[in-house]
Amino acid sequence: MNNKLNNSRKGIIFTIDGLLALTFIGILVIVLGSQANTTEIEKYQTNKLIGDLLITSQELSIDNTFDLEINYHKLFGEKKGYIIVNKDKIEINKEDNTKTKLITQRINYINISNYEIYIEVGVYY
Amino acid sequence: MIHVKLIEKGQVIVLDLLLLLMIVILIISIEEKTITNYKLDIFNREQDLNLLKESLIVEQLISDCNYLASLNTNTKVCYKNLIEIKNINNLPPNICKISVDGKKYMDTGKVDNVHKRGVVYNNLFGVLEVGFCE
Repeated sequence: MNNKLNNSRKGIIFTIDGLLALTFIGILVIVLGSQANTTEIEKYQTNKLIGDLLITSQELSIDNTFDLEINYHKLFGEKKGYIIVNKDKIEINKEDNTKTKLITQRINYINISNYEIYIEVGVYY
Repeated sequence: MIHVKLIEKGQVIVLDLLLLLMIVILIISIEEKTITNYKLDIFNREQDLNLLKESLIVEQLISDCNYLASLNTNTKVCYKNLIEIKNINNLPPNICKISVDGKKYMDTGKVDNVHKRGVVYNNLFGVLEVGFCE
């Protein structure tokens, strides 16, 4: 009877060892798996390009969506996004449903004719 | 009766060992996968860091009048994103290609990464491409 009990205890110890090891692995997976994803660099570069679009628009006194859209395509190609110049808004590649997160920047400047121009550019990623 | 007890003992030990073996195999496979993913992640991070470094160099090129940024000689103001093609020989040695809207101003080797920036060149909007060598 005692032998039988001892054997079943051995079995319990084997199983507890295994479960402990699995718990350790679980912790390892959580620690190693909790790294930041690699889209951060893409976000940074998109931010820079939006900034370029806004700064150059101010330097060239762009005050219409048509000119800004041409420049947008030069920098972002067919990437989903939008452009707002004062109250006019243009959406680019609106049909693309794969991109859902948005990066946006805006600027206000006074043009040569002393009008305040508001420009907003958003790009989905 | 003793024979039956021995069989029971043997069965318990064998079952325990099998269970242990299964758990050990499972653990090793999970560990291997986790470590492989981790290595891949470190490699990707190094690549990202390299891209970030290059991106900062490009930022300096278009902001610093000692490189490509335009200097107003009257006001001595240096304009960011307003560029002139100058001081090409003073650029960092890992830069192999400089082009604006596809027109090459420098092309000295096999390009590894290309960084695009929006700039004003000759009073027009243009896409500056800076290529880095390996």
